[in-house]
Amino acid sequence: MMDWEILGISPTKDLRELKSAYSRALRVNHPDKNPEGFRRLREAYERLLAELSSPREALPSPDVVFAEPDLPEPQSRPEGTQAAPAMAQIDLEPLQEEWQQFWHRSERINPIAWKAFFSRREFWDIRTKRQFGDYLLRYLQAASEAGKLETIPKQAWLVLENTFDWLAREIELGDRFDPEFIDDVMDRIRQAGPQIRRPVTETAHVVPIPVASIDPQPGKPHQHTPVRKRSPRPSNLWNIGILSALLIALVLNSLDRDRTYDLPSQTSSADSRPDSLNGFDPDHPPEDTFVQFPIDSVVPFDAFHEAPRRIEVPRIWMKNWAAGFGGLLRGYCGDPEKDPMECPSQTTKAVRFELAQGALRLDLILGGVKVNGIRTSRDPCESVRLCTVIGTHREVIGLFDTRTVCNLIPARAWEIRNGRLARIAPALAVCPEEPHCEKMPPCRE
Amino acid sequence: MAIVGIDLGTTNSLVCAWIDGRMQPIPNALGSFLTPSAVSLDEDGTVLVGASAQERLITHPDRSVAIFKRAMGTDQLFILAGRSFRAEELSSLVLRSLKEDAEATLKEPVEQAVISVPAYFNETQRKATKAAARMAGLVVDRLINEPTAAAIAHGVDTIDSEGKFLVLDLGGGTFDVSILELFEKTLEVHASAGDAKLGGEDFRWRLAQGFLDANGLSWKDLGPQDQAQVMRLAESAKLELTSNRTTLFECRVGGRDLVWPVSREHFESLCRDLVERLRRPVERALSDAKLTPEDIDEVLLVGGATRMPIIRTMAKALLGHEPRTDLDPDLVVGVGAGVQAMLMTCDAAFEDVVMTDVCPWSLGVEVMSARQRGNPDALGDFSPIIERNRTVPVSHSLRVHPVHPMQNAMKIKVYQGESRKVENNILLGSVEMELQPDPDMDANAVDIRFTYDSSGLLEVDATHVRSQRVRTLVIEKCPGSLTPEEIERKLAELAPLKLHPRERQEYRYLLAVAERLYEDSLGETRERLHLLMRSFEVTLESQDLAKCDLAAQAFREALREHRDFDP
Repeated sequence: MMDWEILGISPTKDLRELKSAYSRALRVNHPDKNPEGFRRLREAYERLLAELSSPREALPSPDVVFAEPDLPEPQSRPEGTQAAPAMAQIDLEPLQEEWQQFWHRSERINPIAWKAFFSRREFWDIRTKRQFGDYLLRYLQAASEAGKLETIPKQAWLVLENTFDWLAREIELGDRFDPEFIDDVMDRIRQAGPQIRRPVTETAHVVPIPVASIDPQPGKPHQHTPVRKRSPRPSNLWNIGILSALLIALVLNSLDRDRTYDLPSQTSSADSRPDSLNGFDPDHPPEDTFVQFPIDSVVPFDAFHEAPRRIEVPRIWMKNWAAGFGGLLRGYCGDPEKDPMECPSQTTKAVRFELAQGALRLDLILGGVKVNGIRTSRDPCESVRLCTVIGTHREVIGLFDTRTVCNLIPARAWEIRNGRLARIAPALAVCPEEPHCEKMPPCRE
Repeated sequence: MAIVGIDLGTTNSLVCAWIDGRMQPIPNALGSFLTPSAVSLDEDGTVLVGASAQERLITHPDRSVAIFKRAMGTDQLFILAGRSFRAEELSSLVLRSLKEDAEATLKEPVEQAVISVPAYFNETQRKATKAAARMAGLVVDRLINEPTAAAIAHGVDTIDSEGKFLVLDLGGGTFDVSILELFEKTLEVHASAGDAKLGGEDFRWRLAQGFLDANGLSWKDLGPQDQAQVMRLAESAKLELTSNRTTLFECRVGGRDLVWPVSREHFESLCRDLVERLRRPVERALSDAKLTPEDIDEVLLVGGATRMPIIRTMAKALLGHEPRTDLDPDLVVGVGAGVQAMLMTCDAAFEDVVMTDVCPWSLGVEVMSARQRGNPDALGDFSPIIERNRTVPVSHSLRVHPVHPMQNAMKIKVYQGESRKVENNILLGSVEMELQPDPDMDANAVDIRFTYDSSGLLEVDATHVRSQRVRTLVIEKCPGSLTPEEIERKLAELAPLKLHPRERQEYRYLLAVAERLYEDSLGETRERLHLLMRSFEVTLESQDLAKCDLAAQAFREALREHRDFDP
C-alpha cells in the first residue's frame, strides 16, 4: 500500500501505468538531486514491478543430488528446493542425447571436438543455452562425484566458459548448485585461461592489489572477518555432512559393542600427525566405507555414559557418510524442546537435526544436559569452529576456533566426558572445561 | 565558459560541444574529428598528441606511446625518452589537446567536461580518469558510461520515442553491452555487461598474426619498427576487408617485401573465438535485465570496429535485428557525452529528461571463508551487498555476526567483483569495528550498509546494532590510483610540458609522416623525401605563416604521391 503512495497512484494492474507513474515521480525524486527520495521511490517501484510482472522465466532448480548409482537416493528433499514450475520448455532432449553420446565417446579427450560440439547453431539461442548450461552443470556434477572431471581436457574448460559464461555467474551458480562443485569448476576454468595474447597489452591490465591479510598479529587472535548468516543452500549435502558425520560416528561408536555396525577400525596414537589420513588413501576408499543407517529409528545413547572413547574420522568417510545419510536428517528420536518424554529415559539422549536457513542445527540431550550446536558452513574447519556448543543455561562447553583446529580436520578426535561433548586431540589445547577460553593457541605450522 | 563532452577512447578520442543549437563534434588542428589517443615527446621537448604521435610510434617508438587507456588505474609506467609517465598523465595530455581544440573552435575557455568511460571501468579506473581530467585543468563532475552516451546520442532527435535499446560498443580495447529503455522522457539503463579485454585491437592482432604465420615469421623476432609497421598495415587491411571481400596485406619486414592475400572469410575464421567472446556479454546483459531478444526494439552499434561485417552478422544472428547504423559509430559516444554535459547544465531543451544508470558490478564484503583449510591467511568468501546491474543511487545493507564469540574486532573488507572468492575480486578498502567480546553472538551483530551514488562513489557504513556505534568508509584511495596530493604534484610536473603549438601541428604532422615514409623507402624515393623535408623545414624556420602554409600544401601534394600516405 505504502509503495503505491510513494508512486502517487492508486493500485493498478497496468504495467504501463506503473511505469508512467514512476517516470512522473522521478521528476521530483531525481537520482542526482534527491538521491534519498530516489532510493525510496526505486525500492517501491521495484517491489511493485516484481508484484505485477509474473516471473517470465523461472529456471528449474537443479536436482538436489545427482546420485551415483552406488549411492542411495536421499529420502527427502530439504525445503525450498522443489523443482520450480517449468518455464516455456524448450525441447532439450535431442541435444542432451547428443551430449551424452559425445561424453561417452573417446573424442571427449580432444579439445577440438569440444569446440565443434559447442559451436553448433543451437547454442545461438539464448534460452536453449541457459537451460542446457544448467543441465550440463548437473551432468558434470555427477561426473565430478564419479571422479571423471579429470578426463576433461584443460582447453575444454575454456570452450565451456566461452559458451556458458559461468565465471560471471559464479555467485548465482554457487547458490543453485553444490558450492564445492562450483568452486571446482571455476578453479578449472581459471587455470585453463586466459588464452588471448596481444602484443601491446599483455601486462596492461594486471592491477596490483595489495595482499590482504587476516590480522596475523599473534596477540590478537580473534580478529576475523564477519560471518554472514547465509540464505539456504539446501542442495548441499556436504553442508550438513561433517557434524552429522561426527555425530553418527559417535552414535556408531556407541553401538560398536552391539556389533550392529562395523566401524572402520581407525585408532591412532595421540601423537600421530593430526593432518594425516592414517594411511587412508582417499582416492581408493575401501568398499565398506559406506555405512547404512536406519532411518527413523530411536537410537540408544546410553553408550555415551561409557568410558571415554575416541573415534577418528578420515575425511573421505565423512564425505561418504554425508552423502549417504541424507535420510538421517528427518530421523530423530524426539524433539527435546517439545516432548522430552518421548525419549525413554533421562539418560537417553535425544538428537534432532534441523536444516533451516542453510544451517544445520543440532540438539542433543546428554545426560540430562541439553546442548545444541549450529553449523552454518560446509567447511570441515568451520564445522568445528561453529560447533560452539552452548547449553540451555548459556553454558559454554567449548569454543572451537578455526585456527586451533584447522590442522586437525582429517583425524579429529572426540569423546563424551561426563555427558558433555568434548574433544581430545594432541594439538588441541582447547579447554573444554573452561567456559571462556581467553587464549587460543595458534594453528600448528 | 563552455562545457564539453569528451570521448576518451583507447585508440581515438573526440570532443563535442553545443554549437549553433546542435551537438557537434569539434575538429582538431588537422581538421579531423578523431584524435588518435597517442602521445609522443618531440626532440625539442614539446608534446605531440594525435596523428603526429601515431606516426612517430613507428619512427620513434622510444618516444611515443598509444593504447595506454588499458593501464588506467594501474601503476604501470610508460617510458618516453627516459621519462616515465602513468596512464593518467598520458591521458591528461590527450585531454589537454582536446581542450585546446575546443577552445579554438568555441573561442572561449573550456573548464568543464563530461568524460565517457567504458561501463566496465571499475572504481579505480574511474578515479584515474577523473585524475587525468584534473591534470588537464578540467573539472569533471560526472563520468558517463560509453553505451549510455551512445544511446543518448541516438535519442537526441527522437526524445519522445519509446523503446528498449541494446547498445553494442566495440571500441579499440573494450567491449560493452548495455540495455536501455526510453520511456516517457526517462532513460533507464537496465543492465550493462562487457569484456574489458576485448576490442577491435584483438581483431587487428589476429590479422597481424595471420600475416606473420603465413610468412613464417614470429612477432618476437621483429624489431619495434617492424612490429609497429605490421600492426599499422593490419589496421588498413582490416578496413579494406570491411568494404571488400579480399585484400592484399603487403608489408616490408626485415628488408623483404611480403605479400599475403587474405579474404574476408579467412579473416573471420581467424577471429571466430573472438566473436564467441562477444556473445557472452550480450547474453549476460539480457539475462541480468530479464529480457529476451524479442523484447529489444533496436540494436545500436558504437565504435569503429562495429563496421566489420562479422559484427553485424553476429548481432543479427543473436538478436534477430538488423542493427541501426544511421549515426557514425565513431562519433556517437562523444556526441552523447556532450548531450549529457548539456543535460547537466540544464539547458531548457533537455530539462525534463531523467536518466538512471546501473552499477555494472557487484559490491560486497568478505565473509568467513568456507575454504580456509588450514590457512589462516587465506581470504574468504565474497558476499555481495549491492548486486550488479542495480539502478543507482542505491543503498543496501547486510547484517553480519562475528565469527567467534571472543572476537574483539571485526574487519570489514570491501570488494568489487563477481567471484565467490574474494581473492579473484578487487579490494577497495577496509574498515574496522571494535567489539566487546560476548558469548552471545547477536550482541555483536553489525549492519553494513553500502550506498552507491550516481557519480560512482561508494560509502560504507558499519553500525554496531546494539550500541549504534558507526564506522564509515568512503572509498577514495584505491590501489593504483593517485591521492589528491599526488595529482597536484603530477599537475605541477606536467605543467612545463607544452603541447606543440596548435597552428603548427599540421606541419609537425606532415614531417612525422615524411619521416615514416623515409624509413620505409629506399634509393631514389628516399632521396626525394629527404630533399622535400629539408626544404620544408627551412621554410618553417622563416616563421612566415603565409609562406609556411603554401609550403605545407606543396609538401602534402608531394607526399600524397606516395602510396602509403592518404591524409
